[in-house]
Amino acid sequence: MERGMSDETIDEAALERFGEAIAELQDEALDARHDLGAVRSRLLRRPEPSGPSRGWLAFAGVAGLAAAALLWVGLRPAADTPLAFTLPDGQAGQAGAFVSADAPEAIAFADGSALELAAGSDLRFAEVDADGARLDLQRGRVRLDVVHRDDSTRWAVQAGPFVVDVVGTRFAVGWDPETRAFELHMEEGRVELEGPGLERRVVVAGQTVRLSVPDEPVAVAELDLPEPGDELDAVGPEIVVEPDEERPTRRRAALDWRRMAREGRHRDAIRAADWDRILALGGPADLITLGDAARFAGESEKAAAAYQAVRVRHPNDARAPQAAFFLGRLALARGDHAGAARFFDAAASEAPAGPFAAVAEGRRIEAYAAAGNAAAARQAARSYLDRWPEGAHATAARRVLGEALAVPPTTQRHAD
Amino acid sequence: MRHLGFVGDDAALVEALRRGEPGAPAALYDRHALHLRRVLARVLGVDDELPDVLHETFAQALSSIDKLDDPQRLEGWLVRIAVFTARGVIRKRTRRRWLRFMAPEEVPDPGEAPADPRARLALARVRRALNKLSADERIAFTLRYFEQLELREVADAMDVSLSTVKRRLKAAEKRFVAAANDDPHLREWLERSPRWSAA
Repeated sequence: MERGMSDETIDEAALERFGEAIAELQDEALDARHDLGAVRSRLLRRPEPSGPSRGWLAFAGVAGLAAAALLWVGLRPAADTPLAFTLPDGQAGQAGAFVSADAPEAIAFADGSALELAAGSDLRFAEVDADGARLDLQRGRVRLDVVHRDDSTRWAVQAGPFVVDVVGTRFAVGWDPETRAFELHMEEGRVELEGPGLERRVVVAGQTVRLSVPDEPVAVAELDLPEPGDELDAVGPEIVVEPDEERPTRRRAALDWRRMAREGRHRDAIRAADWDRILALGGPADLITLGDAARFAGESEKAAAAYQAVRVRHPNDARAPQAAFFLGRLALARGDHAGAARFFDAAASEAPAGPFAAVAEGRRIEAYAAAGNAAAARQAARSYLDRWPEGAHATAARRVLGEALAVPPTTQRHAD
Repeated sequence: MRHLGFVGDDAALVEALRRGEPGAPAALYDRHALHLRRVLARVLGVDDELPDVLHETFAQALSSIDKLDDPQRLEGWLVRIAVFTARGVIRKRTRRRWLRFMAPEEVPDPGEAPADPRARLALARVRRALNKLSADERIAFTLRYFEQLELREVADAMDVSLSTVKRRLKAAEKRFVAAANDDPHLREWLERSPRWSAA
């Protein structure tokens, strides 16, 4: 007899489970696409209305499309091309690049925007498109000078659970994941700041915001946030961003942890996530996201479990070396130096041209040296210097090899 | 002169769009693009046409912002536009299949290519089954079971009555389950805990 549901026995619960699983696959496929920025650019390339929105209606017709086409063909031939930038090691940067600065580093973008990364800072270029970039400051301090080109200009810095949205301005952001301390100092212009329990606020030139975030979300009243005052009126009514309404369905709850993680609400995300299910069934994108959220929240064991799941269940995925690198950092932090060395070794060897290769090779020297394996440390140092003779870990490598510490004076320092 | 980012809630954003305030279209997109892309993906699948459909949805919204009655309900209004746009795409694809004299399941839609081959297979089979539903049945089914909206929310998104949604959903369930029963893979996935996402 044929198995399966009959018309009379349609099982709505089974359809819900099935639909949830399909939605997760779709979300993974969506996460892998990077077309939101391109659609945004295309949409905003349309002429903006100068008067009431009926002007938009007129422009939305053939003339508007023709104008957009002219802009596309003639004036902005590279409008969808992501902003070019050069990493401290001289290589062309791209989305996903990771810079761990042992010394101050400066990075310039093709549109004239620039950033300075303080020594001891870790920064990931999470997204880069034609309109700007989203930077993930994992620790340390970054100073940005963002050039506002047009209304589509869009930059953001994520620092722990805080997000700084930028149009064009000069400012510095700091984040210490250990003390969960955040700092924003505005030099010029204004930005919008969002964080856990924090209404979206405009912060203007001359203001400094220092916030220390406890484990639990805090009320705005508990945060000593400066009031923008009259400046606010210059751009319109003050924004009031209500917390998301209670999501009514299980499916939405399941989706929320990703959103929380994207917004930097790492503790909320790891609480909301269905760990058993994701560890057993999740794709590499979800596992990396969950591992990162747990790591930022200081939940090392959970982070390691998520990264291990990538290694075990998706060993051939392009993100497996990334998981190995972060497993190495977690091992190093808990004093498992030999284990850390193995993970750094895997990260470097599995993706020798990947964004984590240089920093993994550099940290491998540190791990072997801390483990007391001098021979392996020297070998790792030689390997590092062969590939990155002026890299961020070159000084440490030379120290291990007992060579002169001086970096060749004619070249810029590399970071990785 | 620098244009600063728009600040204000959705009602203020609607007013700003109507005034033609610089930065308002960008704010509309930034606030709602992720959600609308997800709704479109549920109904249409994740394919190469999705960016065009998302663009069309926002273009429609920007050009008809004056027609929004209650600015506080911007999100729901945008979802209705997305659903309306998706319905047009489904119907266009159906016409394309008819013109080629092929059964719905024989004509592939624009590529949907997650890296995991098992995921790819699962999504392709689901798409084939969904192609046997009418546009309205498909929308009701995917919003209810993939996006897991409540029936009232599905009705709002489709701009129809609750009873109409129930009727469409019942028909969609029958047709989808029948299609699944014809496909050994789908039938098994539907009956068991879906594990094809595991490598």
